[in-house]
Amino acid sequence: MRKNKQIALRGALIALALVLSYLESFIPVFVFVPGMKIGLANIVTVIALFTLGIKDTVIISLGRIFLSGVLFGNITTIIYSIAGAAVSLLFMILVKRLKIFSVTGISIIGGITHNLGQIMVAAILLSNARIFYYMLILVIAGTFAGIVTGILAKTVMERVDFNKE
Amino acid sequence: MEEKELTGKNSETNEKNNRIKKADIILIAAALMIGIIGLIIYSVTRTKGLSVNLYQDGKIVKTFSLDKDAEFDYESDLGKNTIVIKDGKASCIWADCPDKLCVKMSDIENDGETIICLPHKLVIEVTDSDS
Repeated sequence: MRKNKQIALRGALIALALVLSYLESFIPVFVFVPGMKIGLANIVTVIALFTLGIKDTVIISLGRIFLSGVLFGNITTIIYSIAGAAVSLLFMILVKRLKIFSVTGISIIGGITHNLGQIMVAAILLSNARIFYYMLILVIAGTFAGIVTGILAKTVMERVDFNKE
Repeated sequence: MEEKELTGKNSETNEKNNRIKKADIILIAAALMIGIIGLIIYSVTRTKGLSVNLYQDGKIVKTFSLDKDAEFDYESDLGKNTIVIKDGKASCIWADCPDKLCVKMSDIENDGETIICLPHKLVIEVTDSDS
């Protein structure tokens, strides 16, 4: 029974992340730097990291990236998404261990390092290291995006008990 | 209703993780300061560029002078972009890529500034060298 519940929960969270990243394509935020996003799907990643653990978080992130890549993107968008997700997840896991940040702080680290991962891939794919200057504006953007997703993830976790049997 | 059935234990652990901590505030302040100071240094030290290089896959395929107004259609296997030089500024006014981010990016005129079209692996970069 426990296992069935876990499978269902993973599926539901992948679906939720998928819907959030789709919904986000309709919100033209931060128009001053094109391509900048809040990263609403990161809400699901943060929730999974805090309530289900690392393994499930990786499964949910990969599931979401693969499905949204196949449905709305292409191989390039999948590569960018995986790079962003891998770097941000790694940093979020590390800073969570420090136990000095709240959900919001960890989400901010995730937001900033997600951008870092994507810039790294862009620099490699474009063979141009000078585009790293975008990181200055992306640090600021990632901070605000992390605050928004962190507060939303925190609110959801306060209201829904994911570990309930 | 699931939302109302918060168990004591879960809400306690959440409570501990949820309150904004001192480290969060320091993180926000530090990140914003790095970004803002970096942007200030960047905007103070930047110099006006002289020419524009068009890179495809990391290789220069075309160079323009910023002094002369020009319009140029660049076509590769990946797609088409229309690049315009006007009043010493370069911009991408049209592209057949799906996201059109290169078209939305602001005009570039200073050394090192770039317009990037990720789907077409195209980088338009201002340099301070003479074309």
